[in-house]
Amino acid sequence: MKRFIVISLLALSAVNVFGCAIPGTHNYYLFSVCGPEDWQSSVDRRCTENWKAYAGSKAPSWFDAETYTAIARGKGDALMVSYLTHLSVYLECAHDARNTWDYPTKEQLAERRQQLIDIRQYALDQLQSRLRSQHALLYMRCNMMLEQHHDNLVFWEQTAKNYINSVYRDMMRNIYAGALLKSGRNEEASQIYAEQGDQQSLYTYYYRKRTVQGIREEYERNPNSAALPFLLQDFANNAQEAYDEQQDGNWPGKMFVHTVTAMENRQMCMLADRVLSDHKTLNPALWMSLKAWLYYLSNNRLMALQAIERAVDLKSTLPRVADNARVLRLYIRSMQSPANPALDQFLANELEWLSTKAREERSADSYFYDNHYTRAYDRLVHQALVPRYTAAGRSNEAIAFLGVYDEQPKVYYQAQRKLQSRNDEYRWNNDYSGDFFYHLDTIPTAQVEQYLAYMQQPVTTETSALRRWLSSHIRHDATFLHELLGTKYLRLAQWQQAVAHLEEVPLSYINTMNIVPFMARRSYSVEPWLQRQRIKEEDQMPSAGLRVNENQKLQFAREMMQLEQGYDDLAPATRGQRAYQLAIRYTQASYAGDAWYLTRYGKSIMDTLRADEVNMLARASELLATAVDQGDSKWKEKMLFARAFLPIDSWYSEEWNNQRVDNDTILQRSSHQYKALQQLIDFTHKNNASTSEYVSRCDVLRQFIRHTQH
Amino acid sequence: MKKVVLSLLGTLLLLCACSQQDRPPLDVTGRAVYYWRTIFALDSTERHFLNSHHVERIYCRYFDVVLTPADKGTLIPMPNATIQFRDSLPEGIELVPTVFIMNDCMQHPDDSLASRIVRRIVQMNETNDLQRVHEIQIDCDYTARNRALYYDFLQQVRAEARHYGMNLSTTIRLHQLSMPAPPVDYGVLMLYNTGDPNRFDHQTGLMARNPILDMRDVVPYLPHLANYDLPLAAAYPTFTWQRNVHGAHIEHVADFEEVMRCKQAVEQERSELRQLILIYHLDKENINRYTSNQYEEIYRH
Repeated sequence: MKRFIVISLLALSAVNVFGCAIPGTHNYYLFSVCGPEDWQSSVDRRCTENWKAYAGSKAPSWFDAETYTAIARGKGDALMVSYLTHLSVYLECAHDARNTWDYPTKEQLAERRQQLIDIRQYALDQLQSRLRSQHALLYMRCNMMLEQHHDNLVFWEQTAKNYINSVYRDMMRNIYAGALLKSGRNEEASQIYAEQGDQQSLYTYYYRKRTVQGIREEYERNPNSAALPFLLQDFANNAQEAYDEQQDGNWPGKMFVHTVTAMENRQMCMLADRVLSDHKTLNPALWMSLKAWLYYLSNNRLMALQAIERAVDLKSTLPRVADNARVLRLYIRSMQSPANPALDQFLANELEWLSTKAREERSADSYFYDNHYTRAYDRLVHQALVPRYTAAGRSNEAIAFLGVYDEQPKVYYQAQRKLQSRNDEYRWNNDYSGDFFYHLDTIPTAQVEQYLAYMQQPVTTETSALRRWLSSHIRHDATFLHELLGTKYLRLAQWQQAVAHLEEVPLSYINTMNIVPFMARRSYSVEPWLQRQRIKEEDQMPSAGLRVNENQKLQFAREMMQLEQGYDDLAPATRGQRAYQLAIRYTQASYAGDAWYLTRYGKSIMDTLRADEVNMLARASELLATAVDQGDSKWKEKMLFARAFLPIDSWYSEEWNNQRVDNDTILQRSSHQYKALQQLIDFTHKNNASTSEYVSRCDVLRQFIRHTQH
Repeated sequence: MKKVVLSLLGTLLLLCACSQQDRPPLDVTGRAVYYWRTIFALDSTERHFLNSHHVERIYCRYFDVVLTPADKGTLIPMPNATIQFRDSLPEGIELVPTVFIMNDCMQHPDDSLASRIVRRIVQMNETNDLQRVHEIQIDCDYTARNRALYYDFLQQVRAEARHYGMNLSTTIRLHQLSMPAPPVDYGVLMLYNTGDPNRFDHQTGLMARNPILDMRDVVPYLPHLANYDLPLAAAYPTFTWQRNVHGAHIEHVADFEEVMRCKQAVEQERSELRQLILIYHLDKENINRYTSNQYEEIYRH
């Protein structure tokens, strides 16, 4: 029983690992009118487009000075070659040396400074050339790095501001805004940042002005101030943060939240009313959407719905404002309307639109699946669609909404071959994580059976639009559901139903599962109280070469059927043997057994009896109790030992003692394990001479003796 | 059965004694602080603290190593948040460059990582005129799953550091005590961030335990201390942690009484832990949190 102590040590480490786990969140911000591109991405994209225009089909997909220099040479463009040569040196100097592996030496730092001075002079000399905008930018960049901010102020105001519009001029203006800040001209700088959508800089500037008062002043200064969309979005998100904090299960959001009170919420709605009646704003849809969202967050759902329906039809000069109103309408209406055919039809249209927006917002070579629209779907599914459709008795649709949410990113990453390379390395099957899996794993089997039937219905012209949309966005994987159902039935000890589903699962599928390393190396027929089936840490991960030749779950279900068949009619001695064999298997397949993989998909020391499983340990205990008197004293000793092993409820608990700075051990005299250990001790006292080694070596038993002073 | 128990206990004691004797002694002593900011600049309060409490070493975070997207969707370990030295080191104080490595870096084994880190540290010392550097410390919240990779990595760092005459230490979190010891010269046992920050009492909405330090989280690990096969120093918290949870402003404060209870308990298990004592971390706000006498109590050998 030394294994008891080993388990408790493992428990301690596992608890700590769990402490580090951060639960997923679904309370994403819904109000989004800035972007989608931030300033830096926009600059990168426009520069890349310029270079592509220059280099044509030979253009690499990212800035590569060497390639462009070769192209410029090929064109005989000496000025461009010269510019690129100096730009490369500048970029090397400016590259944040503090965050590269090659930390600069003192000499390199001095050399870099001299190089910047030289490039600055070179750029200044080229201001009359064909590439004057590029060289002017280079000049200002060098000044910035050399902290010559005053030179940049003068240069922009006297020269560069008159240049033609281009990404280079915009970049110069951004540098100029930085120089304004350095010289204390903050308001001028902030307007430039707002116009350019440089949100990072805006956060810094408006950090303490993100209030109703601050927004009112900004509006009064300029009803169409470039900073207003940023400020309204920030206010809406802070208000949402305050609302979400009051709801259960939400995760606290961003840092530096300005908590919006109910009073501020009302004041902002009044300000929005005033703005809308002033007719000075070019973006009434923006203010109306804000008002609708604030109403919603104040639980004025009906007024929220009315306002957002109006906002969708109002005008705006900002393209994202109309999309924002539509996302908010989708969410608010989903939270308000009953789950009926009218909502189904609305959802079918709007969810398709949302999917399209998510695709459009994601650039073709994007590494990440997530964006504002996928996150909006996340919130919509978890907070509106799943609970509301479940409450309306439409659990198939609720499950399918979750399925789309969970599977779409997996499909995306597989297509991108991003996760695939990781899978090759770890052979990790992601199907057994995520909300869709957890939901299916915990709901009653009848609901999963219904869902399986629902998804297997053919889609015809008669099928509803919502069902068609769901079918086109979810993977139809009956094998996954059969395997899951088979496992759920194993947990319920309903062997026949388990067999029916597990027979539908090919071995090739089993070999893709994360439980394979355990299934391949463990057996459910080993006596768990006598032998622990340990697997080295490094062998617990799925690997390419590891396969099983039989689905142990199916084998187990069939064997249990066979063992239980005619059990009651067996002769006492045979029944004792049979009971012992069954007890071994029940214990092994329980959450505490080595063959846990028969009834679940992962193992944690925090595992306890689930609501949707029979108490296999209790069954094992009953079986062992039946078997105790069906053999000689060695047999009886083994049965008693086995019962004492079962971790049904512990023989002691611990209570913190602040005086001793340690735990007190509280004996649980009425617990199953206490009684079982006591029975074992009573037995060994009677048979002291012939106590088996596995009993006398048992450290838990010794601990028990010490505490009970036997 | 009592005889069996006694003889087993005797054997265990003998084994413990043997393992303690085999373990090399901790050859670093004194008082130290962690410095965990991105700009190295000490104000008068901080300088006074170092001077008045006779602090001999500063374990200074030089940079973090994080996985960064590179070309074609791959992730590579890169330095991040490198410290800028804007101030000189007080006379007589030794600097221990400390590098925090994100745990996921260990999922992407990189044979050049160890030498890159050591070379970078050496260069940072040279560029910033930092002398008297005899040691490197690596901080990583490794788990049982990536322990083997992390230990391989530490072996490489240790070999590289030896080229420059430097020793290697690493931080040890409580949960890591249940694993075999890492291949370093000594470990610093982190007696802070011991709890689960997500553990709330759902009825009161309050934190069930102080996640910075709560003895109920420390006690389960005490039995590992005596036989942990590595010389150990101890690090205690002085910091606070503020956050907004479920609408409530929560401030976790390292409690002096709890620190002392912890110090007493760990030193009782392993007296070596009073030899080198660190405080996490040097900051004007933190300094003012305890009295000078309280700091002396924490540092008491």
